[in-house]
Amino acid sequence: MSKTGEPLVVMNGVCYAYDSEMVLRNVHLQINKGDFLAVIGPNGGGKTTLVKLILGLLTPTRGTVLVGGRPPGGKNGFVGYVPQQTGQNQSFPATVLEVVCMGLFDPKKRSFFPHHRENHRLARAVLEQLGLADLAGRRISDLSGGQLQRVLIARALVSEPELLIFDEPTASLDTQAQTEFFELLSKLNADRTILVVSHDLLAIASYARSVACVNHTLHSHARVGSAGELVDAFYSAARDNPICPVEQFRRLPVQKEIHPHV
Amino acid sequence: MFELLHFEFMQNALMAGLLTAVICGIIGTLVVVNRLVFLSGGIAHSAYGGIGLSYYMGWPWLPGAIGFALCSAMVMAAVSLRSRTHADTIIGVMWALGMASGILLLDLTPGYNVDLMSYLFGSILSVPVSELWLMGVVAVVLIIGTTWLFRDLVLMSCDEEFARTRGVPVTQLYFLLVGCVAVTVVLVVQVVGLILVIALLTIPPAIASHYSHSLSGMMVLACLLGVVFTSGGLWLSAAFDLTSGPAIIFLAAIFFFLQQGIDYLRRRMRRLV
Repeated sequence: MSKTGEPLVVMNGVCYAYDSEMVLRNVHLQINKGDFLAVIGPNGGGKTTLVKLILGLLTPTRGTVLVGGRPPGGKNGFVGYVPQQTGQNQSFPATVLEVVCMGLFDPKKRSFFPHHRENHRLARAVLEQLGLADLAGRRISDLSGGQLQRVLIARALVSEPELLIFDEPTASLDTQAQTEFFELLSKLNADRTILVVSHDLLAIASYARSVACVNHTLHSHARVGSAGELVDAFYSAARDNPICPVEQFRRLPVQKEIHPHV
Repeated sequence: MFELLHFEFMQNALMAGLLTAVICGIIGTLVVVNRLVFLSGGIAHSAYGGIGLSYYMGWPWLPGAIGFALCSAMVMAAVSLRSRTHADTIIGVMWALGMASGILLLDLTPGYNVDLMSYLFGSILSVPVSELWLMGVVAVVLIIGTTWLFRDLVLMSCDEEFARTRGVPVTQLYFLLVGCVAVTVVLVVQVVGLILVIALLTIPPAIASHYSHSLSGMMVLACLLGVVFTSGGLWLSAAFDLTSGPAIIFLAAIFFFLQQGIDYLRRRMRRLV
């Protein structure tokens, strides 16, 4: 792994509009190696759009995105992506091993007689690392929500990515599984950069190293405040608010108006 | 019973059933795992508009039907790629419109009346040899194409968004798949009829999905089941003097419900143990 601190993702003056609706405005963001960045913000604020821009699934209307010094999506396997579980066709006939191998797909290596052995070896190694070796031959339709989640992480990890991106990973997990999930992330953060979109502010407060608040504009914070501050930031984030709620919260000492009962 | 096999029409019918089973086994598996059953039904029905148009204009009917089906398939693919939920309604409207415009155009065609029943149920017993060759070519092209693009298809069917991040050309592949559905549906419809196409596209893969751990396994099993259903149905129709298309569908549907029943009982038993 390369040393920490170098910029891995650089977004410069990025705007993105779906049809005529501007979703992201003038976004500047730098993600450094070794970072654990949490992206928070209200629904419809542009979190998923931000992720898709970094993945190269969307092209910015204005501005530039560089991932590892190149335009995103060019270098296969540089970014590992764990999408929301709702996009996964769980009735698809495939074993866990095969799903993990999908993370090694390379369109340049199409063939009538593909060699699976090397891919299977790599996939088994990752499953072993995540404690999923027993599940290798299981059909994905027979997995629980937490197990499927881990399999999707294995699929993202198998290409040895520098950056791991999670889009609302804990949405379908119970509290126990959520804690285990964030424990796993902080382990993975030892040698990988992590970006996680999440509403789980308590977990973010204790695991993330920095926070980006996305609500059409983006404000990043090099340090994470307490869970209480995050909660306030999150819920006070009004649409089109020119000041980032985190900063607003810090700048103004909160003065609670007390309305006397008449 | 086996003396019937000496007749050329029976050999042709068996061959047509076999080729249909293979084509529907491959395309049907992709249709089922990508949840395109409704879309395939829409394409098959709107192709009837193309048949009406061909008769009205005096064109040969096959290019007209394929062209019409391809056009409506591309519209449906574009709409469904944008929004799966919105697509349902538009496909439903195009489904009905295609069928209605086909019949209206036939009404307007002087002195010609096409039997709608033969379009719905086909006539597998009177397939000309030239059609068999065409189906054979399509089957071979499909087998080569799916082998070459197999990993792409697996990734797209399993998780579309992840597939895009790994460099699978999902949009092009989706249009290609829907286009293949259009061509095969029209080719197979004239042989075995509209209803049988939908049945063979869905029933064998639906049964196969319960017993396969991979997409390739599901395709092979669906093809084999298709062969069993078409040849078994042909035997039933010959033995009991029944219409061949419905006999094939009947056999397939009985297998389908048997499988569902056995699956249900097995789950109940497992819970009791």
